[in-house]
Amino acid sequence: MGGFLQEYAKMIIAAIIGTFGYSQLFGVKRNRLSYACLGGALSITVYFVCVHMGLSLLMQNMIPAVVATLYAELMARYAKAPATVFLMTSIIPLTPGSRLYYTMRAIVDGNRTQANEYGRETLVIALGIALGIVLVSLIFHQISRKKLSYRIRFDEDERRD
Amino acid sequence: MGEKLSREDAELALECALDIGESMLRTGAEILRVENTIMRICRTYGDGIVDVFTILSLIIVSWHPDGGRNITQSRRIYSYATDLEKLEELNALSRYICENKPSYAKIKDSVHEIMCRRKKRFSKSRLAGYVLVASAFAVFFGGNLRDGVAAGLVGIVLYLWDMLFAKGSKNRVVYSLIISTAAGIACILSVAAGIGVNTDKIMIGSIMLLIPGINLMNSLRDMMSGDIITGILRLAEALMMAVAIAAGFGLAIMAFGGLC
Repeated sequence: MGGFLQEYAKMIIAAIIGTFGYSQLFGVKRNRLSYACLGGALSITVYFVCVHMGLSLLMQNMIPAVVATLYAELMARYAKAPATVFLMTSIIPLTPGSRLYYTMRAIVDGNRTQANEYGRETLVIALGIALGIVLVSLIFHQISRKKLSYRIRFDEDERRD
Repeated sequence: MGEKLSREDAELALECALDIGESMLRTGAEILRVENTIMRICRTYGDGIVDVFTILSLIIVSWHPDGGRNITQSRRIYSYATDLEKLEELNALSRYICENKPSYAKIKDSVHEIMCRRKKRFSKSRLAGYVLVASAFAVFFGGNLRDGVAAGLVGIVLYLWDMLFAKGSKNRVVYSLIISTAAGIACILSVAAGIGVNTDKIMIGSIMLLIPGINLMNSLRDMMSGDIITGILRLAEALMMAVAIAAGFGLAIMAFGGLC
């Protein structure tokens, strides 16, 4: 069990450093870096918990994405920054970069069954992340006041008076 | 807003609104944010009806100020690169404009200030970002420390490549194909030179640098706020880029795979 935890700790630290690197790439402001890195750590920790519980591949990625999106939307309101800042940095450790590689490798090696399997897994992971983001963002879109308020030319309300 | 807006002033105001909208789109804003900003700025200077249509590569605005005549302007957006710091500053600027109604010359200056301030081509923090992402994710996906160092070196190569060639390329799919072939060759060479151990982990680390995750996320956010067209455009681009990245690394393995 001890070695197990150590392995997870190493990966979480690597994920935090990777998230930090990403925020440098996309110019996240300095005073928000710590929140951004925290998001990456949070999503990858939840991911490990889900893997440990033996959930299906879709759920393994959907639940961390839900948690990350919740964190990002709440943080955006707290730190008064666009939600994209925190969402991007929290989601990055979940992206299926390794599956994409193994799919390509299997295709190059001509191993059709493996290519099929890895390709499907890549798509399922991407779908899980997308579902997680959509579920939470939909709720926040409904309650946010940032709706487009536009005037149109032939408005029925104007005709009445 | 009782005074009537002259034709020249209206054109200048619309130009300022478009300057900010275009800059926002180029730094990676969602469509809803761009349209909202343009609409708000126009209505600060001379109410009326504003028709904005924005997709990934184009903004068209028709504005009919109260008591004036209809004017239309459009902008074509060729390339975009996500820069959240600039985006936040543009956001703050547009909020300031709506509250304080500054002069048009002042708005132009501020936009220019934000977009052209960091003219330096070489940026230490971006280089650090490339190195950290590549090496951290090489270790994250199961590589050892030597793989991390090798992936960091590949990160430096990719940074230099981006610095030299990214500006001139309009087609991001072809660009991903070329840069990932170069990255794949660099990964194989780093193992052949005895720095790295596992080619696959080093390659995964550099794939994480190129993967279009942020496009995919923006596409979801656009589709959810009702901008299906741009959502689909971004999604198609992200998928094509993912395939191009896989193909690029595949080409590198097929050509130089014998070295390790």
